[in-house]
Amino acid sequence: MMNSIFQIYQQLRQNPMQMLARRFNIPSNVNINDPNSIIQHLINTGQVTQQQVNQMMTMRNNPMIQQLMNRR
Amino acid sequence: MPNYFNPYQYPQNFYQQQIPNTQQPAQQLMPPVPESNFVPAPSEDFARNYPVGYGKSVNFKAENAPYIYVKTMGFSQLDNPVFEKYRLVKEEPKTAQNGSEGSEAYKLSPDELKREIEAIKGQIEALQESVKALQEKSKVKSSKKEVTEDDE
Repeated sequence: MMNSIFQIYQQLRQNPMQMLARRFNIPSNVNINDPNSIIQHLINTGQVTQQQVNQMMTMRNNPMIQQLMNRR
Repeated sequence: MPNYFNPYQYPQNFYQQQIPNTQQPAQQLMPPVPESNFVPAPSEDFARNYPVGYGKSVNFKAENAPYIYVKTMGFSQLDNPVFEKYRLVKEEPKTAQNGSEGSEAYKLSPDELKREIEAIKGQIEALQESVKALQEKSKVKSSKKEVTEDDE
């Protein structure tokens, strides 16, 4: 049990984007280093809606949200 | 064993009542995000590269320029995305003076105005004459009818 958790931790530390790609079933032809291409894939596969993306993008520019993110 | 009332026992739903109170502060931390149909765009490239789903359209409002962008995706991968750019133009409110300048009467010179008024006068006189003629005709007809009724 402890070994498997340690392995997951090691993988996450070494390559976090690959872990995320596996978690959200992102194929290899999608550029993992480009956030827009990841979001485009998530929209196309119906994992997120256009409204959710718009809200996220609007929130990213909100100074109050930015302040909260910096606090953590 | 008989079930006596125990005054020191906690009520059965004591823990259930406590749970909602612990979640309230977490909700208060999140500031309300205003819902808008326009996504703020720091640059045109941001809007051009913005991820849009198939058959969807997203409106952008440029943050530092008077522009509005609209990106529309086709219904499949074969359709190219359509990107439109609109420029916002400030519209000045119309004053009373501007309104009179805009009318055609103000643009005509006094001589032209006189000529137009004379022409309109002539048209009115012609209309009056034709109305008089019609009235006379109707009078003649009515008098003829009266004569024929008297003969019978």
